[in-house]
Amino acid sequence: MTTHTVTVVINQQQEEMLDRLVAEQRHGSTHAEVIRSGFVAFCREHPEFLAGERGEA
Amino acid sequence: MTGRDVVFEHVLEPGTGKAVPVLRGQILRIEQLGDGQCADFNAFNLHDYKEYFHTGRTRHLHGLFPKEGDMLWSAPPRERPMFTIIRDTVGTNDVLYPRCTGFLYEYQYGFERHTNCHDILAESIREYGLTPDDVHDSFNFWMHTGVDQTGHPYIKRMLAAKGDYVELIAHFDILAVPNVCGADIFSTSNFELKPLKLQVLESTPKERERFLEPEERRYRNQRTPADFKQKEIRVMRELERDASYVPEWPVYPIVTHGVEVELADEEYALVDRLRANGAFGQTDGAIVRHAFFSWWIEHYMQGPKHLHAGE
Repeated sequence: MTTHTVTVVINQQQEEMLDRLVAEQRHGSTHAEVIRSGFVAFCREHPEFLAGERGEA
Repeated sequence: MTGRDVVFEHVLEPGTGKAVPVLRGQILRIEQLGDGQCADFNAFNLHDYKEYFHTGRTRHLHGLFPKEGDMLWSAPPRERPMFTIIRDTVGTNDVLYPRCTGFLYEYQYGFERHTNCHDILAESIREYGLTPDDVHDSFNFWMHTGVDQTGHPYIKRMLAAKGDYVELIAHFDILAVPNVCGADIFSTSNFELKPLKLQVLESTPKERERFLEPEERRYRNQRTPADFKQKEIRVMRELERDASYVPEWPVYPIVTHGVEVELADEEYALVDRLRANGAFGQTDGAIVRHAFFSWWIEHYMQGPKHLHAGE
């Protein structure tokens, strides 16, 4: 299995939010793990967007 | 409802309004005396008039047509619930349209003199030393409105009838200012101005227990003048630059950096599927960030929710 590295740009305020999520110890122990966890959860919870339905912008 | 003492009672005749104190825990009641009259409404903190009702935050939190159970919020940076609508027998209210003005009737309809909510509100608050500049966008009770497919607002026929009423409980001491809307050439009040009955009532202990929000600030960002760098209210109308001014931005500079997120093959395939969707961005990083924040908002956002997944 290969892995793919995706660079997600965040600022210091978003970093604070990620700190809070890390402190919860439910979604990962690093910022990267938390982002990955949330991303995957979103895709799992919203298969409609994966099927090509356009999101509401 | 029994157990409520009447503190104040007044009939708002067409062309008039009234500024009336409503203390914390008291109930403001407005009742239709005819068939269908819109009441425009302003509200100020009785002890600090610079805190006043804000249609924008109310609209943001409760939508274009607030209803029973929703709140009327004060303007940033105070942002406290001023009232909760505890009873609304019709359910058509509006926070989209601004108050009608003398300008509007002259510019659009050629009236040099016409009843209008701004001037009625201004005359009402003059009783408390406030000026026409202190009138703000109104909460429009019973105004029945919609938005068409092009995003333009429109006014529908008034649905309220004689005997319909709204009741609001005050969360802190407020100067409430309802007026009989002056619009008689629209369906706002079905082309006829009618009186409204205004009452201030003492709430029952049960109502206070059920509805009252804490008066004190619950969040650090519900600010008071004590938090302001400039605490004094200007008394001069002329504006002059402060030569000693040096900006102190709350958060500055904004610094960004990259977080390297490792995705397995099947997870990375999700990125491509969201890219094909088109609503999540085009680069890998933008797509993962959009989906992550959408998840976070859905699971962590507090208060009335109005965001949609994938927004």
